Amino acid sequence: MIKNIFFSNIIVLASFLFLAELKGNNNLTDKCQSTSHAEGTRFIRDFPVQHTASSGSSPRVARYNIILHRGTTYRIYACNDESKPGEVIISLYRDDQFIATSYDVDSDRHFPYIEYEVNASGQFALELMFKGGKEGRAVGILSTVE
Amino acid sequence: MSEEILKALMQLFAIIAKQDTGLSKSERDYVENFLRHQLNESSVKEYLDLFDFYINEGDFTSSEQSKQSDSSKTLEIAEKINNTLDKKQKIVVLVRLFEFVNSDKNLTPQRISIIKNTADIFNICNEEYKAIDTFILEDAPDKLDIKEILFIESGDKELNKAKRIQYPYLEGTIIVLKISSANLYFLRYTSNKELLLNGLPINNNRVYLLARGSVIKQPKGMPIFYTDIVSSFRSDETSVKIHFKAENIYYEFPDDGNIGLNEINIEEESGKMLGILGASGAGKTTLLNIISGIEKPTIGKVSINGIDLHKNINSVKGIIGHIPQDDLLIEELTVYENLYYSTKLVYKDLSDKEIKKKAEKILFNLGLLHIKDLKVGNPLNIEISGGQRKRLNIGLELIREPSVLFVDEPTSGLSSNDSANVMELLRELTVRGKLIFVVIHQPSSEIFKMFDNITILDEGGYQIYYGNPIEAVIYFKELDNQIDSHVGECPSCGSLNPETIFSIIESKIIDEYGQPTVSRKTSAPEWFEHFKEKISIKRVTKFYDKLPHSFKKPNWLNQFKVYFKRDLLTKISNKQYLALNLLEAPLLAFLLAFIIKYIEDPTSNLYIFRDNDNIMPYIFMCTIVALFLGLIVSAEEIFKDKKILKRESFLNLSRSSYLCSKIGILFIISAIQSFSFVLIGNYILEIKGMNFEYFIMFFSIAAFANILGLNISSAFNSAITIYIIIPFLIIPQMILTGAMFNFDKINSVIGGGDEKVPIIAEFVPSRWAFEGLVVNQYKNNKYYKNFYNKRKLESELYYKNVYYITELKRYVEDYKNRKSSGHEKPISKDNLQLLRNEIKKEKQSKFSLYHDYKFEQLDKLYIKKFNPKIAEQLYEYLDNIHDFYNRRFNHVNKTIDDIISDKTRTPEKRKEYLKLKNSYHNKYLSDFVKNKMAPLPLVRLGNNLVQKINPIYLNPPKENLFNIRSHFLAPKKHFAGNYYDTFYFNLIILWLMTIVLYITLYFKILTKLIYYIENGIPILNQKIWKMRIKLINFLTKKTGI
Amino acid sequence: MKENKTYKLLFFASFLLCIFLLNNCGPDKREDTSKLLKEQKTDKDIDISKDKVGQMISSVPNPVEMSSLLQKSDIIYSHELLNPEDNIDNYKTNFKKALNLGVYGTNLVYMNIYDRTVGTLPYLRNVRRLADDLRIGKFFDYETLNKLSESSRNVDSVLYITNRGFDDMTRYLIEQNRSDIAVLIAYGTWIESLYLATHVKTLPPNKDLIHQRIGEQKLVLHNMLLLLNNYRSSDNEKCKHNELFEDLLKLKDEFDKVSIEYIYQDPIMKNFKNHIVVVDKSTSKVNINQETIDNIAKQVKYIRNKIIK
Repeated sequence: MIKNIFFSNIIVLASFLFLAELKGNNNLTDKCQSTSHAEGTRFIRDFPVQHTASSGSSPRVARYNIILHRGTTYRIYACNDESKPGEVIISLYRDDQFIATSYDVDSDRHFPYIEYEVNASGQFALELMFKGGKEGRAVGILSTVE
Repeated sequence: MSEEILKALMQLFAIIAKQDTGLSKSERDYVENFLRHQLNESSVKEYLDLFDFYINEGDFTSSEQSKQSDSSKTLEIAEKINNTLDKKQKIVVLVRLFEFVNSDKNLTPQRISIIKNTADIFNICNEEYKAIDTFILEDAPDKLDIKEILFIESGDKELNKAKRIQYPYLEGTIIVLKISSANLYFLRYTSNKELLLNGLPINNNRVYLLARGSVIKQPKGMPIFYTDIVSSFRSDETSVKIHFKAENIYYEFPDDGNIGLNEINIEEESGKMLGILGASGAGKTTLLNIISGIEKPTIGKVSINGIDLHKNINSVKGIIGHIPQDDLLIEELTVYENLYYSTKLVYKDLSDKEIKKKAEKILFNLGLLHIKDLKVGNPLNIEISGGQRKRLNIGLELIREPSVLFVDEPTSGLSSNDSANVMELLRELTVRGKLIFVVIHQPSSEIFKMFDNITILDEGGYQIYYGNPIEAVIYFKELDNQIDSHVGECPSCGSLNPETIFSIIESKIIDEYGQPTVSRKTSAPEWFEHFKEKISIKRVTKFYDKLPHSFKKPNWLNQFKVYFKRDLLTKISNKQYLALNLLEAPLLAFLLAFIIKYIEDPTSNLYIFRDNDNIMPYIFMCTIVALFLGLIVSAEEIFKDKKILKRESFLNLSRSSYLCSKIGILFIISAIQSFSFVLIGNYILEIKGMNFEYFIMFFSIAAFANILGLNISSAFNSAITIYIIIPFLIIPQMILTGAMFNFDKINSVIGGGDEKVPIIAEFVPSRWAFEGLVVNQYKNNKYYKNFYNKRKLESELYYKNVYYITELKRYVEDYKNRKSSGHEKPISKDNLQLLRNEIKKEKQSKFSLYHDYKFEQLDKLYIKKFNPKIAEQLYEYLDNIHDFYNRRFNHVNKTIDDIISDKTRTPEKRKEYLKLKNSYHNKYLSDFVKNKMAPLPLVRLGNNLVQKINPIYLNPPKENLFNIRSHFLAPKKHFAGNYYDTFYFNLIILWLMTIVLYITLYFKILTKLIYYIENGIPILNQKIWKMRIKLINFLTKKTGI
Repeated sequence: MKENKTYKLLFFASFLLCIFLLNNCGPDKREDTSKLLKEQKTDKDIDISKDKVGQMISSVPNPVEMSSLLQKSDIIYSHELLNPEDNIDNYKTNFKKALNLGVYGTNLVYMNIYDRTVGTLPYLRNVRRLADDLRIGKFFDYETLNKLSESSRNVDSVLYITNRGFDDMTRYLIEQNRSDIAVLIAYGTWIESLYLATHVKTLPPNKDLIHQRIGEQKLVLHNMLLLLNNYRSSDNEKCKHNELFEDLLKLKDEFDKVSIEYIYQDPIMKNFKNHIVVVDKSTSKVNINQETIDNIAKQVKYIRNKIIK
């Protein structure tokens, strides 16, 4: 009897699996923060994005308003969840005016980060989307260069 | 006789002699003769000179004045020696005075009045005075025909009151006087023919004190023994005749099969005292235990009036008294109280008054009345002497008036004087018709002679002698071919040396160098052969009286009352014990509470209950303190009473009434301790409105500990073992309470991290108590009880929303991802099983009644049937209920928030609210019951998800009707389909455990267990021994040594 | 026989006791909470798009930005500006808790930036407690922060974990249809930052930078008002967001006196090997006078003190 109890306990405990962390996005942020892009910067905010596949002509876009201040150099970078096909593209707008993007369509190049020396404070918008509207998960990070 | 008595006697003799006619020649001769019998030659001279000095003191004229001064002198002397003499000695003095007066038949009224005065001061009753008077002064047989007198003669004249023993060929008459109060016999012989008393010739004008074991012998014919005389006197006393017979007792020790006793035969009747002698290890005590019915013989039969003792122990028990060597007294009680409670326990019908009378009578008979109010004390802390203790022990048995008494080593550890006293007491009992068996080791000559019969055991349990003690000396001397072997005792001093017997029995062969060797001249079996050959046990006429009824023991309740009172008195009379026990708890409470009265804000002096980090530890300490106090109070209880219990079990008294009385008293002590502890502890720590709950839980755990303590105190046989055991009982309880070590973080082999409390902790009472108190403190306090249910709902919804459904969704998402990336095995069997289990539970949960989302494809959650379509449906279902939980959570959360904002709307209200919260709600306790330190909010155990956070808000599942197990700190417990409040549920579990312990206590289960364990060990030892021998053999072979 | 009887009695008595205890105290007779589970139309979510709130709330500046600026401008650390740690006992409702979670969070960041890591423990504890009470405690990595607070070398880690925690909480709340709480946290954070910036004791020579920054908060104020507007309700008694909105309107009156001049020019973009550097050629200028600043400070103080009360 007691043997049985012990035995069954051992079986149960053998299958004792700790659950994966629930904070999936943060892992990505942490990962991103540990890349070389983050060197010499101070983290301000992260912008996680997760999209299912959408049509390439009008891909889903995540948009965040931010206010950037004069006299500060910001660095914007992003990291992809490698398990998903989507590659994230970050674009920066001042009001509705395009400023910069991490992806150069002409040369089909991804730039790991954008550095932006702000000389005029104002409201900006950060847009994140996946190239070709593929399914993907990524995080964009805004930080200041110290 | 002591110097002082002799001096006094000389003085008294002198005063008497001086009266009227003065000293006569015969009187002086008497004195000289008397002294010669008492003393050696040089001392005789000394005392005779003293006598002469007293005679010459004052003048010889018998003026009125001198008469007066003489009588006052008499009074003075008599009073002086009165205190130093015992009853017997007083009688002897009185007899000597009469004899002295009688020596020249000069009986003037003055002389008689001096004797009379002395007798009065000695408190000798008139009847006995007259009997002595008659015995010494009268010669005519018809005058002597009184009940105190016995004639030993050849004729058979008609007698009215006096007794007679017919003794053929005797010339003249031996007249014997019996003084009942002192149990003394005096004898004189009317003829001057040769008659030997203990081998010495009797002088016809002297009065002899008939010593115990004496033998009267004429040159021809059978001797007359002391006991013959004694029993003749008793023939008219109406006591039940007892015939005791032990036939061919053979005994093997059960442990090793060694022979303990070998063909022992004993046959005795009422009024006899049998001494069982022998070297140590000869089996004396074994024999006593067998013939008293405590142990069974391997072969043989013991019967009392034809009733087999071992088969019908209960019908005989009442008439048997057994006085073990150990002390059976309760040290804290007085002499009288000891006897009183024993009396109460054996007499059902007697009123208190009668019992008091009875006890006092026994004390009087034991000569203990004057010390009746002294505390018995322990043998080291002497209040009463060893002899007095022993007599009181005997008294405890006597109160039942047993007909047969078995006494084990009554004189061991006593001074020779005390020994003699105790033995005389026993001797007196035979006079009252009791049959007494005494085991004794090397008695003094005086004691040796007191026995009517002795039996001697030799090594290996051989019976080598049975019969008269003095004859024994002769018997062995004869067998040893010693000179003057016919003389039993030393002719000049009247003493005999029992040592002689043993030195003969054990005498060793002398080797050629004159050194004694180890081998005996005569071995035990040889002595046994002699015995069988030469001595036949005197057959006693068989008279099978009906045995008297056993004493009438009181019923359960009355026994309980007596035990209770006795125990209570014992406790109360021990002031130190009482004070310590009553002060211990409040002092500890003060110490504990004061030390842990923590104020979080270092700048403040204001104590806030809410901020005290130590409330959980306090509750933990409460349970441990309760356990400890409960154990300490009880751990020695039964052990202390062990000997007394053994005796009382002999009396067939109810064990349960004894136990209940013990428990009753312990419970009272524990209740007082609990009350004071909780009152003070809670007051200092400002735990409000919870005193009753703390008290009842504290008391319950203490009660449990009480009975646990009783268990160990009844099972273990020394105080030190008991105190070694205590840490073993307490420390595991501390470990497994759940306070010091989180059940999620203990070794998984014993169930750490399991869904439920580890099984081992289910048997830990402190865990139940602690859990009950903590849960109660958290959810039933004045502040929280109005929120608890809402908070519980909120927590349940939160858990589902944030962790549980999210987790389930993750499994489905994983499947979808793997499927889309073309994974071979998109989901494992286990994960599907988990989903099946959990969704089934989800469908049965109470929440499912409040939404319409359904998932009906449980039967599709198998590897073969599961497909993306099902997954999609499942995901949708989960998504929906996720939203549902989210909505409900937000709603409940808002509702609670609204209530709180309502309660804190105005500053006054806010203050009031804060005050309530500060004084009833403890934030650290709250962290504890929410298991804030849990490494994970939920874990996967097998194929189930188990919630780990907020145990206080989680009801255990209703798995199976009678499963009472749950996770730690569950707010409610499940039993038979219902939920019950944890506090009361745990309380009941505690009491059930207590009842179980009571049952083990009652049936001595622990004792038996230990017995089996200990008896297992010898077998083991044997095996080890055999293996060792084998090993040695092997080694010797190998090495060739 | 007799003993049997006593046993029966004993068991019977204990049985009775059990029954008594269970019946008396067993099944819970307290209020039934099931009505809280019934879905009603009235408690449907406030109909605000999650995306919209998420998009706007990210424009509320992070306390790190303001505190960094203060520190870089050589402004002296002043502890007395912070919300006293033991005020936490005053916060009973989610409304208060959320606001002050923002306040304490800002305080925490402020202290860390000034390397006052040793004193942060009570603030850390307060943040955790408030977050726990709001049922968002799991996003705040108290354990790590507690460990990190033991040395001042990890300031960046501390700031990162703190910031991320607040971001996660905000996102989670929005996700869980509790964006009202998220907005309150943001509100508290912002007002506290503004309070710290406007109540600097001794201004350094380059005070202009700070004044500029204060003036720039006009943009934030605008967003804040938009956000709060979502939660206003006609029932003044029930909705506390209304009050916040009113207070902000008063602040807006002051900020209206601030003007931001902005001249646009195309930025210059330089492509490097693995990154782009964008140089802003536009310029902006904030026009703000001392009086306005003082008035703003006054109003901010008023709002802030109301929050922490």
